[in-house]
Amino acid sequence: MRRILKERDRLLEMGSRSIGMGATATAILCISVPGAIALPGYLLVLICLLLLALCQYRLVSPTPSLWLTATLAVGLTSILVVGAAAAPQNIASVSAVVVIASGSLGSLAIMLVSSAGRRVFLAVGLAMTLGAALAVILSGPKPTPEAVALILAGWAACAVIGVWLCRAVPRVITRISRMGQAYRAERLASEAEARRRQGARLLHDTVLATLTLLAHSGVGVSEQALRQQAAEDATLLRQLRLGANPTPHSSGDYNLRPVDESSLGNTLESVKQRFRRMGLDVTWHGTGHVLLPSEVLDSFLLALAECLENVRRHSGVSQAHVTITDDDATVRAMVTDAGIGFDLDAIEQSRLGFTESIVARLRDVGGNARLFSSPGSGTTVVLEVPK
Amino acid sequence: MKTPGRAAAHTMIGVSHLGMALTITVNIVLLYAFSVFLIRHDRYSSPALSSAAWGILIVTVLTAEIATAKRTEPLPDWSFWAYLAALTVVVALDVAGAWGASTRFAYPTAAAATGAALLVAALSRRTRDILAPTAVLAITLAVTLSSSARTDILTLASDIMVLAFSLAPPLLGAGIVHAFRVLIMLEADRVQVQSTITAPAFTVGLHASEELARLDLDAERLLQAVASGSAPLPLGADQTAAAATLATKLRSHLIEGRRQTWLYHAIAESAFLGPAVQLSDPHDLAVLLSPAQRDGLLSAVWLLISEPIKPGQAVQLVIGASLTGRARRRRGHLVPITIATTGVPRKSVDPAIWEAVRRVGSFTETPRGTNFGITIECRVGNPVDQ
Repeated sequence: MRRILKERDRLLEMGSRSIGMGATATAILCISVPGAIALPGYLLVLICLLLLALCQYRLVSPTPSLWLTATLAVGLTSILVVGAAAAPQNIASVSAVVVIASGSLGSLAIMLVSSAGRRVFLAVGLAMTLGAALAVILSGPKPTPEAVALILAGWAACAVIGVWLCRAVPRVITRISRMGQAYRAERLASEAEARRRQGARLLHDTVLATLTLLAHSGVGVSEQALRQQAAEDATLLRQLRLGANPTPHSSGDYNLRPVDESSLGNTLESVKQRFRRMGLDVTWHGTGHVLLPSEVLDSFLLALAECLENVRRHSGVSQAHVTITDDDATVRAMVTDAGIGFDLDAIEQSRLGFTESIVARLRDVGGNARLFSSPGSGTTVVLEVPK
Repeated sequence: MKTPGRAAAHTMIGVSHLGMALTITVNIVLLYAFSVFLIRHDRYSSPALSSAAWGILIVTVLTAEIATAKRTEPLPDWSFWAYLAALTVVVALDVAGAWGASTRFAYPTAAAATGAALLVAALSRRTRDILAPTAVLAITLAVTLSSSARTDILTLASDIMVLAFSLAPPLLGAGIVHAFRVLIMLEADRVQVQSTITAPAFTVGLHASEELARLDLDAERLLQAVASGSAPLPLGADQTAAAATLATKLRSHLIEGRRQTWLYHAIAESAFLGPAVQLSDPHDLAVLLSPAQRDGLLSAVWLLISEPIKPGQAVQLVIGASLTGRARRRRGHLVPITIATTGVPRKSVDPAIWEAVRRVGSFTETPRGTNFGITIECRVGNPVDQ
């Protein structure tokens, strides 16, 4: 709150200062018209007005009240000095007095509306200003009511600006700081969303591979295959995009994607297509439509793709079978090939990349993987993830 | 990383409050000028023209005030030009009506009041849209006022007063609106910076997911174009380059280590601190600071440059600079922080800065000529315990 008041007062002081100094400059121009005030008097008035400008300049300071009082005192003195130096009054001296009274002193009204004590100051200041100005104006030629009207208009306009600034600044600052909440939420959401997208590694791996192929003009790949790959990747990206909309994505169940977009079947089909292009025929068995939270689905597909990649590289056969089953709590995939197999005891599992790339990823989402194999009788991997 | 759209939205919040105050001010000025005209209407060269000018001015200003009242969106562009056109007609009529009459104290009051009338548009227009017509008005009035054969040089003083009276409202109004807009922009920026106080120590930026999502979307479009055949294979040089750029950017966004400290984001995302503050934190020690210390450090840096930045002003913030001998002998975990300034006069700094710095840790001030620096010993919890 203290800071808000400080900002408010600074704006009030700056408003007072610029209006006041502008008016004082105008008053100096008025008395500088040749013949307005005779020379010794002119110098005295000039000194008064320069002093007034100095006081006004210092209004933006740690001790504004002091300079407020000083400005009023010097301003009133200036009015009286102009009156005394110019007597008998002429148009120029009256103009200068009106400008000082309505502008140089009227500008103080901006600062004088900010508290009850200052409003008393405002009333006293206005009364003293009117008194001093009238004393000079009435002694001049053809006194007119407009002069008084202009003084009152100057004070009134400045007071309106001051009242508005007093009200608007705290209100606006409070309102903006309430937006801090929104920024914090936005930060968290950005963090979560970035994590989700970064987490979709399988997808980005294939997208990056395709983009890199395109960047090299698709050298070495048939046009048809490239088009198909691009179509699939575009679909996957679309799913990722729609997964974020319109619901938030960071808690509980609503991570599920819409049925059409995210059924496991569609996604498995794309994995199958990809491996066929690379020379491994994958045959699908069992449940096609299983819904999984996107994070789990990604890990599951990543693990599945790793298994199929292992089959493609090491099994020596060009066909693999994947059986998907699910119950209330778990989705299970069994990847089977009739390849050469291997002796589990003879080869460390870590050397297959099995632990790192498959088991670890599944465990991250609460799943598990088991490996069964013996030389000559193929390999079976069972992947499990919770629903 | 800057978000002009967001800042503009913030500007609208405050500006809607301003309308009423400006309207009242405009009406006070108009009322005064109109009464002066009524008192002296018989002295004008052609009172009919000046009366017509006043009629048009009053109708135009009232229409504009009603149209802008309680309106949160700015009016269409043409309405401002129509408003300016109407004011131009007013000035022309009034100047014709008062031509050569200023020595009889018959001033072009309606023309002078058009300056204040410009304030009605000050909220929804840029500052220069107000200042340019004001300059034109100044010249027109000066020419009109000097049109009469001057027998008494002293009448020059009242001409100066009329000129000041007509120019002061638009100039000062525009100034206040501008100051208010700057205030709102700064506050919004400060709130954004402060939202990092409770952010995780290492985090992605406020706009990281936006950027990643945009890259994903660009990739999707490119791939879709390839798939549908609208981009013929092999791709042209432009699209090949686009694919390569996308792949590079996407890869860099996906690398986990891309996370930066909260302090880095606080400074980089701020339209205000970003250009002025150089952060050097090679060991990411900023992550050790507690929320209270973060708040203190950000407030201190903010207070050092809380005015619109002047050319040559800069603040260097070094986290983990070498400790002085005295500090090194102390026990506990200390993160040394030095703040060095260029072009920030010591005496113009808000005293609140010392309180802010104290919240970060015990500090010493190192005056260096006109510049000055602050060295803070920031005591932090053991990172292992955190």
